[in-house]
Amino acid sequence: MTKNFGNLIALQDVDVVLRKGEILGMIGPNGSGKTTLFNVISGIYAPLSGEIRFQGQAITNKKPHMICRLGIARTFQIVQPFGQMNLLENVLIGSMYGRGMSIEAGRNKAEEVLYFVGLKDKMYLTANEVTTEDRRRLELARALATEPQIILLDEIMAGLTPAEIEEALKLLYEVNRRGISIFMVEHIMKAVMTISTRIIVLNYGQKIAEGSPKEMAENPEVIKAYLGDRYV
Amino acid sequence: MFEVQGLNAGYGQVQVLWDVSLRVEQGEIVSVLGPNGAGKSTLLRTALGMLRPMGTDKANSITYRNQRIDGLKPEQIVRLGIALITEERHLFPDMTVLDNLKMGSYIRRAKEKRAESLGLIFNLFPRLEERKNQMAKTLSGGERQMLAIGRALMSKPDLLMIDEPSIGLQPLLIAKIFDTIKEIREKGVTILMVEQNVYFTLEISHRAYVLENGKIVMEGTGKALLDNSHIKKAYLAM
Repeated sequence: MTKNFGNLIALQDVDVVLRKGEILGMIGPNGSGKTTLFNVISGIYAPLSGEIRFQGQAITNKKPHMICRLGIARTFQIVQPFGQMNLLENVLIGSMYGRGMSIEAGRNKAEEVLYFVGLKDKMYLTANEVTTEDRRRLELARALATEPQIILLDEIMAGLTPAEIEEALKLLYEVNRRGISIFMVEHIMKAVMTISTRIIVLNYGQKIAEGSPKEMAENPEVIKAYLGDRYV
Repeated sequence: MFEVQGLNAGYGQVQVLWDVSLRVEQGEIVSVLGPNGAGKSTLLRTALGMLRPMGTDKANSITYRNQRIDGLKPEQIVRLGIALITEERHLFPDMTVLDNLKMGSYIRRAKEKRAESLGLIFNLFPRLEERKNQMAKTLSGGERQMLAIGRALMSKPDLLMIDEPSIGLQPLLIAKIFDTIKEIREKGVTILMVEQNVYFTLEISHRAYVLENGKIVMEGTGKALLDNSHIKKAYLAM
């Protein structure tokens, strides 16, 4: 995969494989192309060259809503709720859009997902009325409501305390246990090193390393470009 | 220098802060720690006048250099020498880095010193000078953080309030951003910040407060809190 913005090469010849049932972590410096890769996979940007296949089928250049319907959902680093709508309505869009589902079935699905992420009590509050952390849970709920096979998570743990990270990790293990493969970008090492089965590392738009969390934590190039020697 | 006494605040009918008191002395780095939803951002927003305290004036007071500032508007408070960097950063995405910085310096105390401030900020963040003609929306997460801090410093604050300076930064930059905060303080700016990276925060803080469920439950020096068993368990996962 290669993606440019004008003269700037944002991603260069990046190969990624996500296996069924896997939790794949992606780390790399701010500005190294992680979110861009998610944007290309989810159809927001068209790549300059390269191909994306999902279950053997080419999905390169498909529109975002098509890719979502095929089973690849995502969350956004900068949360994108419909602020004036309540949480239930926000999730209903995820569960119902483009599926020809009855309102009742869509609502059941939405409520189940809201319960799952711990937002059921707040479902009649508007997205503007809840805390940042709840809005991040809402991102996850909306994505899960589309019943994906793969979920792309863009820094959903930023700003959480260690206790909250523990809760979020439990939630993700449960998501994964239900058969959803996870591809996640995360800067919180405690989280990404714990949960990932494999990690890839981007730097300046290129994949510079790939392997187990332990291998990545000991890789000199990864330490130099990303971790530094003082991280906790 | 800055003091909050018995503050109650919230949104509509929902009270978030209950009888919160804290103080910041000139030259200090003071931090507020606590879980999400505890009211940390609400505290900073109320301090800057973006949100009015709840209840009577008698119950609430916010003073800055012995002057009551609760009830003042944000633009009046900024003119007194307080700046806030919100968690959302609120940069101007379609303006250049340089223009974003200039936007921070339209108040009188800052305008005359614009050139000097720019020099100081470019010295602190050479990256911003390299990118000064680039649109803010093309910056990476770390560079946005630098720009938000730079723009706040352009207003020549004596007290800088920062909401989550390290959020979304790669591990390598987290250590650096705390070094930068120390450097800003050494240049004479007093710091009040809210942070989730408890280890680095307590290392550089003179004092810190712990806010849980809208109430201050603990207060101490950075060192003392690093050794505290509640902090270790709830915030450092040790």
